[in-house]
Amino acid sequence: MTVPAEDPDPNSVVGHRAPPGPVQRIGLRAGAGTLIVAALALGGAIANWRPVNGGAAEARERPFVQAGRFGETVTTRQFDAAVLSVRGAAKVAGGGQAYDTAGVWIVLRVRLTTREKATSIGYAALRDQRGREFRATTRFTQSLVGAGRVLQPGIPVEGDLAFEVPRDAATRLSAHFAQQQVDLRMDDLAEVPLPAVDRARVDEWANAPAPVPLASAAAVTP
Amino acid sequence: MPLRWLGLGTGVAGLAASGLFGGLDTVARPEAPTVAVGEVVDGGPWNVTVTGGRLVGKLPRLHLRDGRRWFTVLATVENTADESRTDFKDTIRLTGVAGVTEERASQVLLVRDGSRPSHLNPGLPERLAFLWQQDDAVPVPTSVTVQVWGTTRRLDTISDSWEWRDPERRAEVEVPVQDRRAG
Repeated sequence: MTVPAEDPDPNSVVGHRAPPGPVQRIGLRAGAGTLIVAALALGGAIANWRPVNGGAAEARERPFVQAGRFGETVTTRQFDAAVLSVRGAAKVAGGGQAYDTAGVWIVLRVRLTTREKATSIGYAALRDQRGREFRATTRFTQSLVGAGRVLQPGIPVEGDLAFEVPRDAATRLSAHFAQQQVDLRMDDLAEVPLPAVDRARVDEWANAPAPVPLASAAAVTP
Repeated sequence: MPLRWLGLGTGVAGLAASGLFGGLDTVARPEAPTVAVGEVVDGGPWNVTVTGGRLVGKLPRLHLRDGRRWFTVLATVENTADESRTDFKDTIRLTGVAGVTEERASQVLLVRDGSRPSHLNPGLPERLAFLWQQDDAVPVPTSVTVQVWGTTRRLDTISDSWEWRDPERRAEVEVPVQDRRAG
């Protein structure tokens, strides 16, 4: 009968493996490192995988458009907006000074009313048929939009808003209003298509020498 | 200790792997082409045409520190994007001009009426005056090198939206300077 030794040589015991030597240890670590790098590469590839419609954040986070008609009130979550009239001009006059433009001025008479909270309307822009955006001018103060005027709930405020657009864009435009000034993502956006005009009418506006006076914002009867 | 060696080894391996693919090579700064005064530079999203340089004295509604004068670069700038943009102030930069400490202009005015717009709308080229305060004791330069900068529209990997990123010099313009302080 064979008596097992108290400290058997591991290499002599069936089913046991000797501790890895220095070269094996380096190999094991290299293998683990390779697996980590492979996992990171695979994760990165998956994270950047956009099989369809890469850059869809703009569509996914687009504003909620509340569309209305010219002359009628458009209701959004936080304010009501109405475009009452539209004019064009080569020059506009505000604050005692006349301002010309490289294109043509589009002047909207707008009525804005906040619904529940005192707030200002930060965003007012026109958009043309090519999807180009033309924000209300900041060459002079327009108190109806921006931080200039805080609207009180239930009190409509009416006034003119002036925009500069290229002549070729002026024939078919839509007006847009939102509470936020810059970040419109997932915000309410009031949209009002403006009446279409022909190019001859736009040229007539752009060649009229007399400046169009701009009406200041003023509270009106609800 | 093993962790330290593992980190060190990983770093060395990374450097070695990077070196294999040219990661340690010296990279020359890309040279921007020199264009003539009056030539359009596609700055993206701006078409920029530098038209001249001026020295001017006091300007209405603008504060000028004592011992300073206005150094002005005139340029016609057109927004070629689809939205109103505020970054037109970044299109023109100055470096190496004695008495001017900032690369970017401190003020940008519309030449047509001296107003200071916060944005420019698409398709409406505007003649702009880019203004720097310059030490009045410095001799009047005969010309300066004006840099036109632009960006590239690309998909932003963080926001997953298309944005104008990666500002870079697109061109340099050697601009003659006229002293208009007298008139």
